[in-house]
Amino acid sequence: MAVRVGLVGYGNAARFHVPSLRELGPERCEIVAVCGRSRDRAEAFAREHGIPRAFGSMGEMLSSADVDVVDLVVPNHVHAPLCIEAAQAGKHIICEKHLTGYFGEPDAPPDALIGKTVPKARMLERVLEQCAAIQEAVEAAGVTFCYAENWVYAPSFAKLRRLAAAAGGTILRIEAEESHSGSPSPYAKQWRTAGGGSLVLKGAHPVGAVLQLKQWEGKRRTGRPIRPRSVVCEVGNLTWIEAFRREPKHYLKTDWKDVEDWGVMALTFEDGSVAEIAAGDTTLGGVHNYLEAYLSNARIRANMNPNNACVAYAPDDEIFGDEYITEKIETKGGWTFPSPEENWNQGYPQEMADFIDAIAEGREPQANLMLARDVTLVLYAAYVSAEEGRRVDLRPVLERAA
Amino acid sequence: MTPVRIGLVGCGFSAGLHIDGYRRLPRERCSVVAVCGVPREAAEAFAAKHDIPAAFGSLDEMLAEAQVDALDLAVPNHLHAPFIKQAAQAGKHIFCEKPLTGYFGPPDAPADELIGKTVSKREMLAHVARECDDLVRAIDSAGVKFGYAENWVYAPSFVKLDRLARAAGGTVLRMKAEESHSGSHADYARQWRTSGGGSLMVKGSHPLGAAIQLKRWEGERKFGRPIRPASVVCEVGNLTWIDSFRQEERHYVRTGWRDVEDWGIVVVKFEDGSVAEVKAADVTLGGVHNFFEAYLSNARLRANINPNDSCVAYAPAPEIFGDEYISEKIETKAGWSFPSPDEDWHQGYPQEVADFVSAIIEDRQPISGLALGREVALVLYAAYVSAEEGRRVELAPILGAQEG
Repeated sequence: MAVRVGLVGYGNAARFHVPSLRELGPERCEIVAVCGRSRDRAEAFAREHGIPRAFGSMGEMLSSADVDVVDLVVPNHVHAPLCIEAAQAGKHIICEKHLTGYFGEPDAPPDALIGKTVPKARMLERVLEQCAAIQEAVEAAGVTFCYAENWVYAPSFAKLRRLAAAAGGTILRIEAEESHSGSPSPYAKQWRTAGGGSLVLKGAHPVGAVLQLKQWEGKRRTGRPIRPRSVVCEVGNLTWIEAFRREPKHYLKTDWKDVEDWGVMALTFEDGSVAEIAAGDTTLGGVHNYLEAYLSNARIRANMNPNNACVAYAPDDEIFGDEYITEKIETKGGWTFPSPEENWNQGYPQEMADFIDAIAEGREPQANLMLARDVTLVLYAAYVSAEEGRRVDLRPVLERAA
Repeated sequence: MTPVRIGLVGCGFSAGLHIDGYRRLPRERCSVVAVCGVPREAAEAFAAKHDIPAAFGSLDEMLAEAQVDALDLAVPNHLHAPFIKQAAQAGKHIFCEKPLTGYFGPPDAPADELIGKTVSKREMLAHVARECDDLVRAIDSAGVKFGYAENWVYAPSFVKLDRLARAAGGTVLRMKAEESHSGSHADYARQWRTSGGGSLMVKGSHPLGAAIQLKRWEGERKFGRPIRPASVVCEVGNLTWIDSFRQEERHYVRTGWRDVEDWGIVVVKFEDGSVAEVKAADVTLGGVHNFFEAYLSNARLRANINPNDSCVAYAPAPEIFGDEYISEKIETKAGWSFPSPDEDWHQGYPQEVADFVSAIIEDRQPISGLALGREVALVLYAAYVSAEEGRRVELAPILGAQEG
């Protein structure tokens, strides 16, 4: 029987998820309803995508429609309450990253610069409480939780994992990064709406892939995931540099209010292995996503973007007209690395396939709740490290959340 | 023009690299007139092999008997400081291999003492800071030229990167650089007592030197003074001590690191708010991996010192290319490879030697000089303090007032 999906949200992420779910075919999955805060917009989305029913809230959708799984494609700050509500209703959950974050106390004004005023240690404390609450609700209900971290499913990363399995060596070191020239959206510029800067918005992807890779290695080796042990982090605001501000023309996005536009963290795992993860909103040349694994007997690199599956050159910016090249590239002139199929390359259809099958088969997906929780906690612990200028021990943090 | 008379101190691996650099220069510019080393027989053999007129068993002897203008210190790290002082007192120009200096334990410590485990990094930093002060005083009062042999500063791809950065004119916001390979063969590199540190010291000093130099240049160009490092955060690890690694039957990366790290990352924040991520590892397969990347506000530049694809080769079996050199520390000649057409040239060895000789002839300081050598040494040891104490270290009190 097909898994029945209820979409929660009708924004950009919903647009990504619909084609990936549809690709699985009606016998594997069916989008039966969509809901959102505006019933009108939910109805418009339903009409546009041929979804049978539309609702003005998740509660309404869950009581009136037969839904097996809710797909949460809503802003990050409502993830936690919706996850808990869905679990309590006995529904499986697909949740976009992040699981949760710190967005200020509910009564903080929308323009409060909480990134500058709230200590990161307090943020971590709040996030811990939310993670524990979600964990408790999901466990009590016995539902499947799927964490929509597409990097885990990107074909180049999946191939990296298979090569690592074939080689069998110890993963000693991992290096990963997601960077580009900056998010255009105003919500990304402020902690109150974004829950952090480059590390949260971009770094969450490589952090997710890195944590999953070591979990996977541990399970393969001893049946038990290898978890992170400590984090050291540095963040910066490179677009606040005096000389940069004075430049007449900016190719990078600016106006970051209380969030970092660059960060790097060094993670040390229980087994002594390490990961270096960087994220930046100050990188020209298009989206730069990669993960490199240094094993004791092999070295493997996944170039998600750019890679040279297709290489092009044009003497002039206009030559390729409207044909898409790749995300956030500033010019179509010169040498470029056009993405043949960006969604596939980034693992969007693959993640949905694993989620729907996991729910149908009653098994854990590859990107599970432990991953979702560890990513969130590692990110906020990294912020504590950067703010306090010290290494942060992750073991007590991860233990408390479990 | 009288050629600059060079006295080579040391007759090991880096002496060989340097002699090759001098030999690429026109004979009227410089001449290697003497070599000294221990034992004397080794120096004599080196002299015979490289056609050097005189060989000595010690620096004292060479200074007393040979007419030299400059000394090239290609000796183990712990001898840099005493030899620099001696050379400066004798009024000789100095060309010194990196690092400028380091901490190698008290002179009376037993040769096998694991000082990397027993001496606090803070104490090491204090010692290195004092040593740097002494060296600066000695060189300044002698008024000699000092060349800090940081070849990355002279590597053609890095020099081109700097020229492109100057042409673009944008702010250098972020740098990312690394030197890694599968581990030093030399025993001296495995122990703090002889190496003065692990991967970060032996390898990381190169990308760190290049990053500090790039910001120096940018500052001098834009504000008339270098932009200097302001703080450092560091993590180190011993990846070859991982349990599941130790249990593996066969090891492709070097092992046996005693009290030094085999991996490290240093994050430097500069005075202007820009940053550098500098990495070094002894656990990297696939040959020497040396690169430097600069993210400017209006350009992005990458220098692939090694490997780069100026030559690309493929062989279905490892024996196909026979004895032909591929590149440093590559484990197999099979599959795709990136053979180095001229490794020394790509790494800037002949160029650094040429600049030192030119500096003496033109009566100026070399491009890579004492200030850079000093900052690299101090930032590195401050980074070790950061890793040991698990905290960010502010550099202003360590580096002191802006020079000049």
